[in-house]
Amino acid sequence: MRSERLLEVKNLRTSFFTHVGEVRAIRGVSFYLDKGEAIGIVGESGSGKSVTSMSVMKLLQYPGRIVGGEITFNGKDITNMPEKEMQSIRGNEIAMIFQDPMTSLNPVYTIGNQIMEAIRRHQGLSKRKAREKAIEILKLVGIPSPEKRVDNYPHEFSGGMRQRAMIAMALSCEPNLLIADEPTTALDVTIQAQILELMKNLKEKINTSIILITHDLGVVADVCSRILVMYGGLIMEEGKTEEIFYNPKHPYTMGLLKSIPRLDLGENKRLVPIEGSPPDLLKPPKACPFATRCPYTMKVCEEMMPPYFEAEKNHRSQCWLLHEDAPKIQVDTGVKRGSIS
Amino acid sequence: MGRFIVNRVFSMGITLLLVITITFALMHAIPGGPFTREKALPPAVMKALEAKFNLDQPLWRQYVDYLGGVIKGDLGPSFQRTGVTVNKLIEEGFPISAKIGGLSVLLVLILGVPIGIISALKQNKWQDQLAMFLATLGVTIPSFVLGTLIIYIFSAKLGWLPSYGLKSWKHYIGPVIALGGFSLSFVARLTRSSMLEVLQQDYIRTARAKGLSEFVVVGKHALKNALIPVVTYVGPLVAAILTGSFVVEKIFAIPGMGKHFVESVGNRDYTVLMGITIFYAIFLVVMVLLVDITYGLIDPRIKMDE
Amino acid sequence: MKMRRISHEMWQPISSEEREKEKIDRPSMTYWQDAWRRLKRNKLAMLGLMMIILIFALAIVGPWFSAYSYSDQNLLRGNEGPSEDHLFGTDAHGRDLYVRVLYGARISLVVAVVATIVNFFIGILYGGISGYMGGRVDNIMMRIVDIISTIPLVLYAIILMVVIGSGLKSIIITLGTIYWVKMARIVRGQILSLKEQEYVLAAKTLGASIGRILFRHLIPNAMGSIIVTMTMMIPSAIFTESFLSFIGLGVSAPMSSWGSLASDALGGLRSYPYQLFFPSAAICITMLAFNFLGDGLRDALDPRLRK
Repeated sequence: MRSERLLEVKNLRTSFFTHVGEVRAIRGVSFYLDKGEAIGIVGESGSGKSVTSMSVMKLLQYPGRIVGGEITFNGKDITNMPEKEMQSIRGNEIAMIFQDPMTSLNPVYTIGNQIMEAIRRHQGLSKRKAREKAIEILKLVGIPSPEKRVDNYPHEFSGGMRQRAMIAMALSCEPNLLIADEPTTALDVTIQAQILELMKNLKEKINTSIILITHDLGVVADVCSRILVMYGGLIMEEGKTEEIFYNPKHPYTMGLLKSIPRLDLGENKRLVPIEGSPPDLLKPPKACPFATRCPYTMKVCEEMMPPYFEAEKNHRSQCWLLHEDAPKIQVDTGVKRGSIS
Repeated sequence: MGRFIVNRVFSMGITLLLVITITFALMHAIPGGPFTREKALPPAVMKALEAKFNLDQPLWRQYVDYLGGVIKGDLGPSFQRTGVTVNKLIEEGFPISAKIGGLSVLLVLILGVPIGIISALKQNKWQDQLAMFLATLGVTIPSFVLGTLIIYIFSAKLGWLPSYGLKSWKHYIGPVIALGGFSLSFVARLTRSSMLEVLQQDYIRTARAKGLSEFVVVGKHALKNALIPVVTYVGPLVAAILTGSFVVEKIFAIPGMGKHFVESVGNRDYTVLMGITIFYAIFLVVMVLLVDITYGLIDPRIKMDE
Repeated sequence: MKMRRISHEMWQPISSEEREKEKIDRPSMTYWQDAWRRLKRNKLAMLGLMMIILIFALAIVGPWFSAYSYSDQNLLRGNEGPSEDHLFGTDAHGRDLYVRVLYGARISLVVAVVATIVNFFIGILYGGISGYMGGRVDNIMMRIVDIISTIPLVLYAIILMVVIGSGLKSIIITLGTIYWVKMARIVRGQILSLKEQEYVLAAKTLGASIGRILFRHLIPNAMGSIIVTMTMMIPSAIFTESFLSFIGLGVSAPMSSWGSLASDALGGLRSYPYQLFFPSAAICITMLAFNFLGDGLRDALDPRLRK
């Protein structure tokens, strides 16, 4: 059975028009998401992953603007959708959770108030009904004694509980798509696992598609079936999770994999950082953005932008190494088959 | 909440006791008594005067008597004006000052806050630039300059406004603007910068991501947070208006408390000076308490129980 | 995939030495260099700074180049409008207003210097100690500050001035007694958050003395907010002085300050408005200059705005 497309992004380009010039944060990004699917967008800070999500939400703040491309959601082209219509999609059909639960909740309103707000806005429920629903959903995300907690203020919640409340808020209208922007980065490791587990369970329960944005490959392995690796405003590599982990084709992906701390690594094996820093998107390089940091840079890498090479079905990589004339390389990232579920 | 208020009232009492003590001590530390004139009074007259005002008593006795009087609400007689008590001066002057001061506070809040909000929402557009140009000008002009300017332009040159007294509503325009001008500009600037900061916060992004309209995002989520620093400023605002009234009442010849105060500075009427200072202190301390309670109501992070 | 033919040598690997390293086009700068660079770019702030320097330079040297002194009376030439002889005209006693306004600037300069010294020595020390000690000491010290700040400074100033008599010395004493409260509060707040930082902990572990931690680690890092507060406290002190002089508690005649000049002009406002105009303009321009500089400094020193 062919699954249904929920989101399709074609050649998206987003820029920030700052006083020093145009910062080209996203330079042509295409991807899709099927109904019920979870994908991960991975990359270091400045790679454009968060800007991608804000572009899909159409929540870019001045001076940011989508300058090209097409976003189709549920069969509708939302690229140029008027703000009013977009508002009825946000929080209703597409919801979002943010990185820092400490600052993402309004400190002067109760948790319940902030959850009910979305419910009442999109479902037109009465105050009492909305409150009941808020309590129900708080229970669903695992907040103990939700009928009391609903009247608490954010500062009375712990970090993990706040992120649960954020998830409750995002899921309150049972959205088709949930974008989670680094949902676990600000949390303790043990809480991280709980939150990821919760997201996985809820995905099954309400059949929501998920875009999980993170800089941590370890986080996506568990939740997502496909991974996009972003760098310098471009998608460097895209493939099924297992493909990305066991058979990475792009040296940047390999670098990311080598830098994940793992228990199964021998004591004398060190983590390998990727040297250098991401390109300045004010003057983006005309060729491969990773060439300055790549251990396999060839002359062509500094001259021409590589096209996407299909390594396997549904596994593409924007790297010259996949060209038939390129020297073949052998890489061991240290990730053993079967080490991810 | 109840305990919070009890605690605050208690520390208010200590503050006031200290203020009374310090004021009393300062007034009695003035070299020469209140009746020291260029021409010395005859010793007998001097003695009679001192007896009349209890000045022949030991200092501690005078202090205890005075404190007792203040607690009972009696601020004593005027030294310089025979038959006039400080209470009577306050009864006469305060309603007038309160009316002008209250109108000024209203003007400041009703105009200043919206101007600040509009400026923040229209950041760097012409509305913002115009408002901030005027506000910057406003915080550079002292009330006595603004007051005299109003008299010179609108009374002397244009003849639109009366220059002194308080007979009609027109008489209030000049003093209220002169008194509130500085604070109005200050509040507009404060609201703007506070609003701009709040609009950058993550929870505003969350509110937008929920699909709320821009009106709700600004009016509900941003406004309440942006008002927190403005509410904190209301205490100092009342104090600024109060001290501003000293010059404004002088310029517009308004018989309010400020005028009495400045006059008693001029003729060294110590009991009036002391009495009005203490009255102001009580007034301000109560205002600060009210502001603190409002503050606690707006910002749930303030723990009212402590 | 249709593609242009790529020549053989393009597939040669490049060693790390050969490749175009990412050029670091932003030279590294210290906090203060960066702040100064940002301040220099702010035209209004630089204008403010230049105006302040100009006003105070004029205050110091201006009166030397004038044919009149601030107290020279010439009753025959009283209430004269601005002319070549008297740039700003004369007052009721025939005194030259230009020199008197410059003299007023000197008073303001003295007030500014006093306010700075008081804030630096008492305010920073008081706030620093209170914030650093914490606990009971902090509680008591801040309670005192709370009590002082309940009553508006101007009210204290008036009472103090009544007690010690008016005049420049009294203004200095008055400012010295009460003008450090706000600075103390701000420094305390800064120190409270700074002292939790790792580098302070490191210094403590290494056995640094309280004085060293306070002066080498904490206060330099709070300097940004101290300077911004300073640019608010100085004009506020000048404001207060002119206010006190206006209600007759400032410097006594024949000395002049901007406030007393404005007050003197009040009676003849309808006939001789220039007598009010010049001292008022002097106050406003000074305030404007400090405001421009203060806003600029705030933007330049705000660490959140740094890249």
